[in-house]
Amino acid sequence: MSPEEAKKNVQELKIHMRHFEEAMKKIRPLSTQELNMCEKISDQFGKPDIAGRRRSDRESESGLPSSAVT
Amino acid sequence: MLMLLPLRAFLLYGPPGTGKTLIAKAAANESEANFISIKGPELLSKWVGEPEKGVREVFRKARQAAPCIIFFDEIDAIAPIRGAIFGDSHVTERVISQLLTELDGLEILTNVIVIAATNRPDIVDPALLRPGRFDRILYVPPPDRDSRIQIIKIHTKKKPLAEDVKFEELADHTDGYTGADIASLSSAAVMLALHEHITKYESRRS
Repeated sequence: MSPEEAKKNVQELKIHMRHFEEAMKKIRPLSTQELNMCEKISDQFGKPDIAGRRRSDRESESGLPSSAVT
Repeated sequence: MLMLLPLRAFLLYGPPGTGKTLIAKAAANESEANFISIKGPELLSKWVGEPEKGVREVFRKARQAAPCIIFFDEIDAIAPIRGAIFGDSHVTERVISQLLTELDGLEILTNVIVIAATNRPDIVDPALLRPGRFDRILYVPPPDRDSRIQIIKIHTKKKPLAEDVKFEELADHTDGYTGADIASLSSAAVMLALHEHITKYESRRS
């Protein structure tokens, strides 16, 4: 495709949900192991998170124990 | 009258990519204070005494430029637990001592705020984490669903999204993703769309 052609048809370029789904296969979230390590450390310190919430508050908000987050 | 000492030092910790550095930048931007950013290992030097001198210089400049925020990124690189590393020249031990005296020494820090970030608070020297040094130790967790929606909106702001892209649906699918992951995800989606667009025209031409 020539640069002129690309410019002419740039309006047709759209990012669809399938592109995000495809990208999700390449980019993975933090591993549960890594996340658990951080949660364990936060328990050790017994300190609140940046929003001033403690771990138990976060769990009750999400309805899941933090360790279940993958 | 309440003789309350203002908080002077904060330690942010959490998994990589959750926005610890961004929070420090935002604090500097919002407060309009001067900002000195130190990336952990850059203070270290091959010359004996240079790293400690570097710490002293940073605090001296901050006092001169007050109001000022000093930001230590990856503080675990310069302040690991003392006695844990063998075979080095004990340089990090002297850097910690220097940091302790600057944070909690005789010279009071006026209008100087210290923010440090790490993703390994467990290897930071405990002396630094005691009250009077880092007053607040804050966990920066991965974003929750609402935060993810906001982050996705920011990273797809100037991108040509199709109508089938729903922010809420994307946020549901990105549980466990950090801000940095979401930024990479949106870039990867753009690259995929671009690749598809180019190959579509190439195949038409052939």
